[in-house]
Amino acid sequence: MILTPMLQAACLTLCLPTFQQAPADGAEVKAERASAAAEVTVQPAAPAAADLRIHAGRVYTGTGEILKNALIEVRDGKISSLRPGRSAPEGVLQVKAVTAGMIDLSARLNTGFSSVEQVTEVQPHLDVAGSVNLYDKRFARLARTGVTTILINPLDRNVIGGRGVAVKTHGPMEIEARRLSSRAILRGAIGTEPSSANHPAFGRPTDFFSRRPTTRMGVEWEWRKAFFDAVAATRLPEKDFPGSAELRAALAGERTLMIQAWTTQDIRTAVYLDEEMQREGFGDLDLVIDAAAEAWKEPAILVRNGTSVVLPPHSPGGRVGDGAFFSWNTAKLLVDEGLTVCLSAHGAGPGPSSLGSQAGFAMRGGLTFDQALASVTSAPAALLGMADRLGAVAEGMDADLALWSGRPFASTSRVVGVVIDGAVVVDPR
Amino acid sequence: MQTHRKMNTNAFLLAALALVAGPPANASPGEGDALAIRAEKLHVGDGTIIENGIVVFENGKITEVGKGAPVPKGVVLIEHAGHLSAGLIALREQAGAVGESNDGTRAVMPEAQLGYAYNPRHSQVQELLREGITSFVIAPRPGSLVGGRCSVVKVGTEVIRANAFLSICTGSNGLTSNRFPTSLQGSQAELERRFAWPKGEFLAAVKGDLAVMLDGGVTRAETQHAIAFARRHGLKGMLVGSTRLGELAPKIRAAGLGVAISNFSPNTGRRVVEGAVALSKADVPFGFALGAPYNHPANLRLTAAACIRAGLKPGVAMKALTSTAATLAGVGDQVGSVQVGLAADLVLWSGDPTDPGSQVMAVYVDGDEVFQAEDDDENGDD
Repeated sequence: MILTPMLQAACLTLCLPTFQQAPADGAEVKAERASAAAEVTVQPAAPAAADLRIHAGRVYTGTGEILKNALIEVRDGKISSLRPGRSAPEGVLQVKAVTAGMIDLSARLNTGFSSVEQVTEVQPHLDVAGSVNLYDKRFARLARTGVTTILINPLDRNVIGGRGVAVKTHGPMEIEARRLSSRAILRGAIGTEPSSANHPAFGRPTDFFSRRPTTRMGVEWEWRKAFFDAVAATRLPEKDFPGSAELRAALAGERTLMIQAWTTQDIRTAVYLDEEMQREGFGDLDLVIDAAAEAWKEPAILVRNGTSVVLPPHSPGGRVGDGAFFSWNTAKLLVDEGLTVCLSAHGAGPGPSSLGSQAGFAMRGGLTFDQALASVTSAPAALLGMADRLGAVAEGMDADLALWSGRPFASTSRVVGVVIDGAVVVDPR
Repeated sequence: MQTHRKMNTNAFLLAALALVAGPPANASPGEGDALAIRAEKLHVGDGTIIENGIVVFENGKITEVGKGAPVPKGVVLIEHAGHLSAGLIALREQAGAVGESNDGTRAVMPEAQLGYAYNPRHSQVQELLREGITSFVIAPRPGSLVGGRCSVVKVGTEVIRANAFLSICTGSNGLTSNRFPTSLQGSQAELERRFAWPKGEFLAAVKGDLAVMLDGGVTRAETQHAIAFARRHGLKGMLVGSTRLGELAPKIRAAGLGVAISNFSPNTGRRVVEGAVALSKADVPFGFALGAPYNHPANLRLTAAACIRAGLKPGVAMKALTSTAATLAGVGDQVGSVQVGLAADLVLWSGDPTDPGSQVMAVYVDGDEVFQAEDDDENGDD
């Protein structure tokens, strides 16, 4: 149907330059040339045709470059070629603009309370992958917004919730097949959420939630105790607990520690924890603050520790979670300070809260287009340790693409098509 | 009932009633007595139906089955104008054990045995007979990770297989909010730990000596996980609780698991009944779980009828109600078929058992008549 002209075109564009450069294999080349000249729609014994070809008015590669009238070819889920200045061959998928698929490091597509083990507050050894429901319709909704990779973390009801899992928003329906080989990310929280269900034992019958922490101070106490015990356990076996090895790995920099901290006091607590670990000689945490809404208040604390941030979705009034105030120029301010900044939509589907819109809002707050693009593509890809596969449009990268109706992030544009690992998940045609 | 109570206060009337009622028309044999029944259609349990088939039983066991089976001299032959089948078997019940079948203090209790929760004299159990159910698997209520060992019990009498299944909830049905585990990853980590170096019941399950009853949870993802879990540890047994069976039928088949199909209700949509058809096509052995006493005993047969309405072959449905269920529960050599040597657990029906309009006329358990439908009279239930 569509395939035949596509194959034909692929044969012409791919084979002709090949045998101009390498005319060694005479017989084979002649045969190919004959078939090409006769314009017969047979499959030549040439390199296999691309699985997918997209022609874009503009490709925002993510390296600051804008390729005009570019032809993107996809083979085996990877971008096999990217060439600007081409006219659109017949039957090819045509769009106005292409960016790399967006990445949300705080997508929150967990399964709620069944995704957090509350038996104790510190559960670094558990992996949220076991509770992920890939059949959840929110994955498809998220994919429709051009988000192609997400990090799923446990619900923030624990002090240390466990390990997150990075997945594409479309692919195999088994979690082990879907899981990306990203850098290991350990998730925890500071603020009111980890203590919100707990209460003191006095004055009422004791129950499961009669326990620490009930305050911010208690949450901080749990963090420090966990790390001190994890270190002490190497000498004192009685101090050992499940997951202590994970915390030692975090101290050794083998894990990223992502802590949710909305307010400036919680951001301070997180950074002070890292600095205390360094002072004690326990190690140096690779710290990322998630939902760092009030990072604009004291950016110097983050700068001196080299901490990266993931910002929460913008809110019209500025008031966001944990009573924090999120200023619209936060991203701009932090990027200018030289910090790595990622944006998040917290899993919002299509509409004004989507990740693309968040990038637009951050531009409204002062980010340049390139900075905004980086904050939803290359910056989160780097934090996942997958910058070699994700976050840019270049040959050899995963074919994860967002196809736009116009200039990306503009309020008049939207995502009209989505490609994930070379599969057209949302077809604009 | 009102009438009865009034009569109880009047000794004279009561005596008169006894005289009028007299002995039942079909004499019930005592212990050890032999009896023969000829039914217009006799469902053997393997899918075949014998026209005008005769079944002879003695000392609680079936001694002869066939169209012209010889009836020993002196044995009463009852002519039944209707269908006859083996007693029906329900695969996941709490009848007679409500409030006693889930110990919430510990998430993992593999040594617990459900047979000890069973009260055979409970009215919930007696109710099952009215719908032709003569055996069932007593299982823990969901809520524990490993709730105990399920037992096969006979209605009104005893446990016939104490250790039929090890009950495991791999999905969110095993979680509670007030003890470990509260999360899916917590429950999975715990189960993996138990099966990594298996001991006791877990070792028996891994070796295939103890079947598992896997509650696959609610969602498709959870059910898929349960199947993968069974495959990973080489577990045999059956999947219960899930409604997402249709799309997973090939995977269930590949894992070598059976299925207990959940109770159908019009509110659950077509998923359950279409799942049964898909399981049948994929050659997965399955029976039905009633969920007594939370669901009325009639629902066992109504679920089968709903599956037939969705395209399931009536013969397959009938096997699912009897012989396949018995095989899944590991008691196929005792009950579930009208075959020589098996227990004389028999149901006399007014018509085809899978027709919801058919009524139970009489039920025999181990050769004893334990239920007989009352004739229409003014003292019947109103």
